[in-house]
Amino acid sequence: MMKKTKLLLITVILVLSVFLSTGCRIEYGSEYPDLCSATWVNLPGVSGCSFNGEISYAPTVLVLETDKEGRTLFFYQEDRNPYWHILIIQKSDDERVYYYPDDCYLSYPKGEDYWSVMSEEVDVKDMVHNLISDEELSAFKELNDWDQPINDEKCESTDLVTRKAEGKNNPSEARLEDYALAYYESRDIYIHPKNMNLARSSRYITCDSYGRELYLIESWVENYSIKSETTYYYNLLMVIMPDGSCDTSTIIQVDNPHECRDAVKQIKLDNNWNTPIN
Amino acid sequence: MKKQTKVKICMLTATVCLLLLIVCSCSYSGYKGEYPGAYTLVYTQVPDTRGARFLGPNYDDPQILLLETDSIGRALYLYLEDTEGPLSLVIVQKESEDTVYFYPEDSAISFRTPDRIYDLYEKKLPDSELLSLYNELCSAEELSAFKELNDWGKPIDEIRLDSAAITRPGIDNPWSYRKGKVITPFFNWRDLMLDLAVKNGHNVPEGFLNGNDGMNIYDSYMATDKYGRELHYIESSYYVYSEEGVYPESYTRYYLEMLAIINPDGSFDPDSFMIELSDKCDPDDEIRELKERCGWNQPFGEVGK
Repeated sequence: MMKKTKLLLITVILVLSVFLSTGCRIEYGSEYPDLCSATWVNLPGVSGCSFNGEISYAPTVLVLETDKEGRTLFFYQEDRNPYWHILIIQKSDDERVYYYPDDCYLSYPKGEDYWSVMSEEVDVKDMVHNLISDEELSAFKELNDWDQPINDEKCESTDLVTRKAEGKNNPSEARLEDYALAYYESRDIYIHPKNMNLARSSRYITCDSYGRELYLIESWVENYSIKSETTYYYNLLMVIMPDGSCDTSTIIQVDNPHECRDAVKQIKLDNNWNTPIN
Repeated sequence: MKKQTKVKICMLTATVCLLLLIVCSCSYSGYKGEYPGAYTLVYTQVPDTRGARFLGPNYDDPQILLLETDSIGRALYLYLEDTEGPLSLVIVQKESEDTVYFYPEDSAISFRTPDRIYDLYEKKLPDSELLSLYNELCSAEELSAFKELNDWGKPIDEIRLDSAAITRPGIDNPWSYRKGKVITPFFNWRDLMLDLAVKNGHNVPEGFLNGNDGMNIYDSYMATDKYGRELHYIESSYYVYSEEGVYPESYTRYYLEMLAIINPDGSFDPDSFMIELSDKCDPDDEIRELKERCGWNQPFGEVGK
């Protein structure tokens, strides 16, 4: 009897260990946490490591080139993200990673042949070479001072993390929904609260030195008429202040969260990003 | 008997009981309320009604209120299945124990329920709220015109009368549709509906036309005429995605809501047996046209004469 109980106990522990060590892992465990950390605070549409059902998704990161100052040009992709990304970080140490905000990335749609590309184990460097022209790459490098000394004034930094950070201002879903509704009301678009939904993928992107937080809110709205029903996907960029408030007049609607660099720049400007709060 | 076998039998019995409980708790034994005439009238005359109210995970009787009767014995009722469905006003000309009489295509008007009562979905609306909703949706002029159309306060016009056998159909399980006697599950509703939709000017995307994109078809029996023809309400939808570059893409789902009349042997005239509803809350003219085309209530040899 004792023997059976022990055997059962060992089996349960083993099953739990396997489950906990594989299925639930949503932390990045490979060699480039610095590159991931910089990506996660710069690209509004990425999720980091995610977990869906019993499958965990970790991003693919590949270093393409480094310059003499120690900058790194790298490739980043997430399986469930429809874009390939190419980024440059300026430098990193054990605690922080440095980059030029809003200028440090390029994004390219994966296209319909994405899954076949992934299953063929193509050479990523070749693929990147096909994605980006020499001129485009040169311009991107120039924007990031490739092979030049690092311009510390242009630099921003973030903590090295192994999972995409959550915001600290903790706006509740209801509050975010209220901000979104207020934004549409100010544009004379009335949406019944029942028809406004926030996607689970709505996410925190980054914060400034004074605690302002930038969020990408993915929402969808259903609009009914007699013979049809339209579902609009609205992606909203909003800045939440440390006290949880939001100036809804600065909210920006973006069609495509993977191509909204200008909107990010604009909303930061409108919210006095990185300046002291009165 | 071995202990293991006993345990297995117990587990099997428990599973069967659980399954039975789930299925039975979702079933509906049929209308038990006091107005089976009004219930039958809506069931046979108003498209897209289920005949039961879904009160999360169970079914219950729809809510029917008697509003008024006239000197001849006509009755005006209010009918609501659920807070997402339309609110219908119906007039029964007369009824016996097993038959209800009404003026076809003129005996019901429906109103869309406003967004705010969606919050009560799967809950029963108190009678007082149902009445105030009715007062809000139906103007005095509309009510008066509806009554006049139904000869309110005047003798019954027997020539205009149609009748239906009182029905109290149950729902076996949450997935069942209203079924008639004609076997329709093997009908190619999809192609028939899409053909008509394209003829009517719908811009159906290629993926739906060539069968690559899936469509759910909802076929719901409504009524039978004296000669066994059946009127069915069939619903489906297709999607049109918005312009490229928007991620995720917004889309519009277009409803295809059709009425079809099928002969008792399952045959039909492909050129005339189906009509598209422009507004299922106002279907009377289209039902009338379809019935005329298909010879509703006429002997088979005399259609088209």
